[in-house]
This record gives sequence, C-alpha cells and structure tokens, in this order.
Amino acid sequence: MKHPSNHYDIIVAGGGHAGVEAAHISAVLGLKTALITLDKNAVARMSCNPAIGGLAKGQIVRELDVLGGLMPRVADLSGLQFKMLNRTKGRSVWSPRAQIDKRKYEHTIRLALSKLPNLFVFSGEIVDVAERGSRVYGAVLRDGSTVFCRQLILTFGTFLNGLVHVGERKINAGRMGEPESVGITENLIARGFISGRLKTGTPPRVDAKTIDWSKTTPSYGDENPAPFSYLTRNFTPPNIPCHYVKTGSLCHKIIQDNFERSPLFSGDVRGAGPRYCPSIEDKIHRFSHHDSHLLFLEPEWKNSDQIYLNGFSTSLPEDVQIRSLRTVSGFENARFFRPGYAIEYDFFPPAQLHATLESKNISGLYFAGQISGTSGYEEAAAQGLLAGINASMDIQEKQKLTLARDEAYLGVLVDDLITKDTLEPYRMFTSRAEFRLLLRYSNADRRLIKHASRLGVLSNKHLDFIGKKIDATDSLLREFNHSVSPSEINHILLKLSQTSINQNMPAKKVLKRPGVSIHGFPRRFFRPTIDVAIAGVFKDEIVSEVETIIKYSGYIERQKKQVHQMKKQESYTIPASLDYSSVSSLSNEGREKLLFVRPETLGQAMRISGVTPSDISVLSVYLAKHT
Amino acid sequence: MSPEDTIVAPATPFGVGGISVIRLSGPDAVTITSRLTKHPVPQDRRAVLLSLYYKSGPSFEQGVVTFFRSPASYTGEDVVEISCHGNPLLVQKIVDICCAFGARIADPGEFTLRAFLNGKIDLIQSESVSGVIHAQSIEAVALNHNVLRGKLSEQFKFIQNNIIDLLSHVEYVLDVSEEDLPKDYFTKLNKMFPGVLSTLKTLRDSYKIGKLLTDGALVVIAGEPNVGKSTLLNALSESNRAITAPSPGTTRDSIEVRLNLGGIPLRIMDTAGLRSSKDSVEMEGVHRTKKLLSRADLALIVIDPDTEINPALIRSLSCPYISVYNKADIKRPTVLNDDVQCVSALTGAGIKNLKSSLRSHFGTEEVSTRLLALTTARQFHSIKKCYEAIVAAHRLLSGDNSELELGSFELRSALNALDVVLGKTTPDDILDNVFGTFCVGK
Repeated sequence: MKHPSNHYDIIVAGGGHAGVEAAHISAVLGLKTALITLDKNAVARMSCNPAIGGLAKGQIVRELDVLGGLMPRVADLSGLQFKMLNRTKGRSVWSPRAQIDKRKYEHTIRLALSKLPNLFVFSGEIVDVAERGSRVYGAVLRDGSTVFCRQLILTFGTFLNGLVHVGERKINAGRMGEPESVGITENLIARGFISGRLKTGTPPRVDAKTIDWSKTTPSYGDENPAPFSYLTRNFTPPNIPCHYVKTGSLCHKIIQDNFERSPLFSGDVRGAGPRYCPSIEDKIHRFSHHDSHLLFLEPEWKNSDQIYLNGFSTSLPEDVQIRSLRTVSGFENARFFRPGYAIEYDFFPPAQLHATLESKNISGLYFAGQISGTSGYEEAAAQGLLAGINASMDIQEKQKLTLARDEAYLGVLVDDLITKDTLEPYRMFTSRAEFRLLLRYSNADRRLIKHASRLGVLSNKHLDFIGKKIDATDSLLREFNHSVSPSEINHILLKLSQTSINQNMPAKKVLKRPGVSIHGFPRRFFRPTIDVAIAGVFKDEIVSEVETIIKYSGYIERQKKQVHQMKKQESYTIPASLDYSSVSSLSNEGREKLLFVRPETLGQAMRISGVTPSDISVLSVYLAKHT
Repeated sequence: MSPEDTIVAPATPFGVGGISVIRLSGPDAVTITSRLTKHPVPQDRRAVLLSLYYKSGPSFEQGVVTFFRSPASYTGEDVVEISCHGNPLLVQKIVDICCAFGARIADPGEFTLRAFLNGKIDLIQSESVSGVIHAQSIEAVALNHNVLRGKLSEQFKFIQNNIIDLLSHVEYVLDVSEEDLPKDYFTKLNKMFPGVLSTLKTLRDSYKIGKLLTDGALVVIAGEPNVGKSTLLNALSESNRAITAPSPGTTRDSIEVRLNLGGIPLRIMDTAGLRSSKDSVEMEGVHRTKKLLSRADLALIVIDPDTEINPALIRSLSCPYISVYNKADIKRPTVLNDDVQCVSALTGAGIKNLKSSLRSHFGTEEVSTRLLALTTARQFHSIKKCYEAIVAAHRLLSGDNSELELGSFELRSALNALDVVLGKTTPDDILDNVFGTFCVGK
C-alpha cells in the first residue's frame, strides 16, 4: 500500500477518462502525482456506451497512442470486437471503433495505474482550489484540510451539482447511484470563473435474459482488424456480435402520448443537450416522418447479462420507457436493470482556458473533460492527456505542448473549445477539421512523433515501433516511384476498361487513375516492405496509407497550401494586455467576445463566434499601428 | 489608418469648376468645422450657408456646410461636407486650415475604408463605389449602383447558402450516419447542383459585359492609307474630329473619339495608314498603329475599291476584327462576303448597320439599367474559382465511385473562393489593393 502524503507535484481531481490520462502521463513523466476522486473503485468507469473510437473519435484514439495515452493500449486489451467505420466513404474519414468489455477496461486501467510508483490514488472530495496571488498551491478537501501541489488538474465530469432526471423524478447525483459534488462550482465562481449548465443522457440497461435474441440481427466486427496502439502485437481480439432491432409505430405512439412527461419537453431540464445524440423522444418529435429508428443491443462486458440499448437514450418516466420498448420485436418481455435518464451538470466555458488547457485566471490550474463542456470518453481522455503533459512541462520548465489545427484532431478540439461558444456538449466530428484530408488515423504517427520524442512520453520500445512503421511506409512509397511494365499491369487496366499503357510508366502514375487499386500491382512492389518486422498487424494499414498518399497527392498539396495561408494569420500575435475598449469601431458583440476569450493570435480571433470580418479588419489595422 | 484621426480631403476632382466639396470625417469633424466657421455646427442633415475664417483673419469665403451625425453618415463617423466655389486655391486653403486645426489629409480610399470598417458597406459594395465615380455611361452607373445597393452581395450570399446546403448533406453522411447510404441519396444530392451551377455560370459570363460597362472597349480603325479611315471615324462619331484629305498619309498620329454605344463607352481610334514609307514621321505613325492594335478589343479593318484585305495584317491581329468596305458610293464591291460591312463613310450609308454590328459584337443589345454583373477582376476570379470547384465537386459526387470527402473538399474550396469577395477571410494585402484604387476623398 502506497501512503498518501500531503505534498505532490501534481494533483488530479476526478478519476474519469480525463483524470486517468492526466494522472498517468504525469507519473510517467516522473512527477509525484495524486489522483483524488470520490470513489477510487470507480476510476476509469465507462458510464455510458461500451465502445471506444468511432467517427472522428477513432482518429483521436490513435493520436493518444502517439502522445503516450493509456486508452488505446487498454482498449486493444479489452475489446469485444473491432470495426473500421466509413470504409465506403473516403480515406480520411475511416474511423476505427471497438466494442469494449467495460469491466476489463476499468480493471486493466487500474492495474496499469497501480504499477506507477509515483502515482497515488485515493478517495476524497475536493471542494476548492487553494491559490495565492492567482497561483495554485493546493486543493481543499471536504474536511477543510489542504493537500499541497504545484499544479492542479480539475476533471469533475458530470458530477458538479449533478441532477438526474427520470421522467418527473429528480435525483441529486453525479451518475446514477453515485453522489454529486457540491460546492466546487460556487467556489470557482467566487474565484472569478464563469459557469454554465449542460445536459446529457443515457439509455436503459436491459436484462439480456429477457430479450428474445432470435428476433434480432447480429452485427460483427472486422475479420482482421488493426489495433489502436502501435505497441500492440499479436493482435487476435474476439469478435463478439452486437445486435440490432427496429422501433415501430406503436412504440412511437406511446412515446408521443407521453411527451409532456419528459423533462425535456416540460422545461424541467434547463441545460442544453447534444443535438447529435438526441434522445428517443427527441428523434420521434423532430423526425415524425421516420417510421422506425435503429436500436443497437451492445453487451457491456464478455458474457454480459446487461445490455446497453444504444439509440434509446431517454429521460421519460420508467413506466413509459418499458411500455414503449415492449412493443419492439424481441423486447416483449424485457426487463430493466436500470432505466434511461438525463443528467444536468455544471461546466466551465472553456474560453477561460489557454490552448495548453491552463486557466487564464489562475496559473497552475487546468481543466479537462466534461467540466470544459465536451462529451465522450475520447475527447475527455485527449484533454486529460494534454493537461497532464503541460502541467508536467511547467514543473520541468520545458516548452508546453499546443497542437495546430492541421496537426491533430486534438489541436482542432482545443482550438474550438477556446474560441467557440459552447451551446451544447462538444463532440468531435471530422467536418470540424478543415484540414481533414491531412488528419488520417493512419498517419497520426507521422503527424505527432516529433512531439512525442521531445516530450519523452513514450517508451523506447513504443518509439521504435512507430519509427519502423513510418520507415516501412516510406519504403513502400519509394517502390512506387519505380516503373511498372505494360505486361504487369495491362490485364488489370483491361478489367477496369481503362486504356492500357504501351511502355514502362512510373507505378504511382498508374495508381493515381480512378478505380485502380494498389492491390493490382505485382508482388515485387510490396516485398521490401513486408519483410520489415514492423509490418505485422499494420501491413494492411501501411499499404492503404501509401495508396492514399499517392491517390490524394493533388488534394493533399492543395490542402497544404490552405494550411500555409492559415499559418500566416496565426503568426500575428495579439498582446495579452491589449485594451479592447480603446479599439474603436469594434461591434459590441465582437468586443465582448474578444474581451472574454482574449485570443492569442489574429487567426484565433477570426474563429471566435460572434466576431465579424469587419471586427477582424478593425483589429488588424489597430494591431498594425500599435504593435 | 487609425479611427481616432479626423481626415479631410476634397471630394470633387481637382480643377476649376462650379463648386467643390471638401469632406471631413472623424471625431473632431465638428470641432474643426466650428473653428473654421466661428459658428456652432448646423443641425444634422441641414445645409447652411456660413462664412469661413482662419483664426483672427477676416472671412475669406462663404460655404454651404452640411453635417451628418454618426452613425448615419457615409463613413459611419461624424461627417461634415463643405461646398465652396470651385477654385483649386480655395479648396487647398480650406483643407490646409482643417489640417492646422487637427485633421490630416485622407489616404486614397480612406473614407470608403472607414465605411467598410464601420460595417456601413461590404467589400463588394466598397469596390462599386469607385465604379460609380468612374462610370462613363448611365448603364455603367446603374450597374455599379445595383452592386452598391447590395444586389450582387445578395447573389453571392445566395450561392454561398446553396453550397452550405450541399456541404451539409455530404457532411451528414460522412460524420453522423453510420448506416449505409439510402439508394436514392446521390440522385437527391445531384439534383441540387444544376441551380447553383447555372447561377454561377450566368454570373461568371456577366463579367464580360460588366467589364465592358466599367472599363469600356478600345476599337482601332486600321487599313492602308487613304481608304477613308478618318472619314469613317467622323461618320461613327458624327463629328469632324479627324482631318480628312484626298491625299494618302494625312493622318500621322492616332486620333481618339469616345462613343457611347448602347451604354458601353467605346474609345474609337483612327490610326495612320499601314504602308512602307520612307517618311520618318509616317513610319513612326505606322509603328504606333501596330502598338495600338495590340491593345485593341476590336479592330475595324478598312478597305476600299482599290485595296484588298491584307492577309499579313489579319494574321498579326491579336483581337477580333470587322472588315469594312468603304467608298461604296463610288463603287459597289463585285463580290461581297457576308462578313464584310459595306459602307460609305462620306454619305453615311451603311454606318447604322456597322454600329449595330458593333453592338452585337459587344453584346450590348440586352444591357439595361436592371443589369447585374461582375465589375472587378477580383469578383470574376472568385466566381470562376467557385464555379470550377463546384464543377469538380459535381463530378466527384456523381457516378458510382463517388468520392464524398474529395467532393466535400471541393465544396469547401468553393466557399473559400466566395469568402475572398464576401470579406470573410480577406487578407490585408487585398484590402490595401481594393482601397488603393480609389481617388482621394472617396
């Protein structure tokens, strides 16, 4: 047993996915770290869906792997099935997703944390920040005692003044069955922070034994999936199916008849919910012309008796939930372990943070995860990792990590958070990344490796694997500079009814033709790459990445030009001390937003919601004259 | 530029005229005016005749002073306009006094820059301000006025909204729905393209006429000596601008007349006849003619009963041309091709037909004061880039192997192309360029 002391380099408040990554990386970087959470037996709990990755999120998980995150490695170890989404829709939007055994995930994370000698995990409730002269020196616990630290990372999730709604019932809770945190919001407001309120929801958990599985359709993962982590070897995960069913008009009718009993419609819920993850009542209300909606039955762990009913998120009263659901084929005799519910919680608009996730008000204080208005395990983990890295860099007096929008989804995430209004919980989408074509899951290694080496977040083995994968990709790319002969390729072109070639031609030129696949090229192109030891589980990924680089080269070049233009705007820095009240001609809203956000560059200012192009012109003219 | 400064400049062109107007804009416009007039500034938007003074000296002039209170003014700031007699010395004196009282001379286009920065006009509108000032025909004024009233901006925004619509459809499929695409998805998507494409095409093609209306066209009359080029110039312009004589080589230098042809300001230039000559003055004339032809939008190649079209001349042309057979009153041509205009510059026969050929060549038949057209190269390039991107997007999103993310990339490029004009992401250098083309005072 490790003994908690009273002095740490870094304290992480909260043990969700943001907290776990923050604490883990801090300890890995050699800092004495405490993870203080309400219930240390709930660390790394997946409180909503049993899946990691998915559209845009899969790319984030890959980025986490290159930056030293724990999530990708543990997801590989605890997956129930793995699937590449969007395979028919274009290279940069291919996104890996895994169904996860929640119990195994949680357990594996805790095991990994327990192995770090300088990480101390204990239960406790933090109610205030100890600061002097706008500089953090500790965290205040419920009993009034102070634990001292140099950097404090807040990751309270949905627990701040959490209020659970099930129909007309309201329960004060952080998650169903767990107490909420009270007092911290008020104390932070007293220290000059601004708070807001958001809402999220979760569907019912159904007893697997009460479902007629013969009436459902199974849905499997991929045959030979690639892992999330470059550290994973000998990857032979299970392929346990999910199942799906469809709702029908009878189900919709029951829900419609009870709209007024949903706190969403009665006005009881004040926080704004996510539009991209609507509750079933919301879907039926807004899309009344749809005859049915898909419901996915997802196991929560291996041989799970508890089924997560994806697509049926709701805050209707329990009796309406069960009655409407029992009209769905296969659910005639269904029973719940737990009804669906909505939860409202406090968050702190992230415009109060720097791009390092350190707060602008109090130095040494970081925010990460749902407390900053995001939703999703991956978004939370990414912020936690970044906050942990930067808190550590601060102590080690090294340059902090900020990522650009063309470099990583993590860069897009943070930049959006600190410049855009948070009107609903923020979830990542690939369309938020204007340089999407550059941000593929399959090139996260190349994009971020230089940061990883500088920061020292990866083990030598991990770094070495990533280096080898990049080398293998480069070597295959070089092969395609060589010529392919008519006799080698014309039979393929013929099949595609394309004009044949009549003399040797660079292979990449032929590959660029629409419809021509890299798999049609002779084996000699691949041999040198396949021989590289790294190839293994990543062989398919390397081949597909090379195909993408060659086929998209024209678009990638154009996108890089756009990046170049953006960088010019990012190079105009705005002094932190700028007195916006002396810049006349700014619109009222523009001035207000600029004052609140205090953008660090002109590029950032341009992206702030409510700041008009004419505000930007005024600002740039002012800056040109005064700086 | 700094919004705290008060700027001053003559708002009317330099030179002697009936009246001149001096404009002041900025926070000190009111104070400066009351020091200049030794009188409180008149009520908002009321023209008042006041005496003008410099310090303790006697009144040196009377001027009509009009005050426009911020924000209801051209620039959005306090603006004062002073009309005085149209004497450049007087104008200079008033401007100097204003400067002595704290104003500074406005940079080129600075009044319009301020109007833009204060959100009074958008970028398209600010470009058309210079268009209205420089317009050389009523139709061109109307065109720029339509643009200034925001009609072109509306068109741009209409296109922008349509592209955003298209993009939302594509992004939905890429980002939200994990299910397979419905079968009719691409059919639906593709139905949205023709409308945007045709609007873009119409706008793109309108630049030809917009440019003509704004910049006018240069028509060069060329041919061998003594075929009656100068007589033709006089006939077209219904004047005696060019000296004519029966002897060849009378015209040594190029002569220009302006002609408003259905709204399009034409500059018609008569030139020295093309022949090899030992006279050095005449040689220089020939040289100039060739130089002019290289800049021309249209050439009128004149022949008469004694000459023929010179194939070498035609080959050297870089612009379209109309062949004109002159002196038809002396001798009708024996064989006449359809594409040769037959006139007598002397009697005026056939001139009307020639003018209507010019009109149809420049496409001015449909020009009306309701016309909406692109007027600057920047607008044209923006629309052209946007059009090309939409064509590419359409290609990528139709057919069996539709490339959603590349289609989306092109749609985004199309939006970026519009942003350049709508002022969303305008880099400073473009702004400088736009405002640098305005005359001082506007």
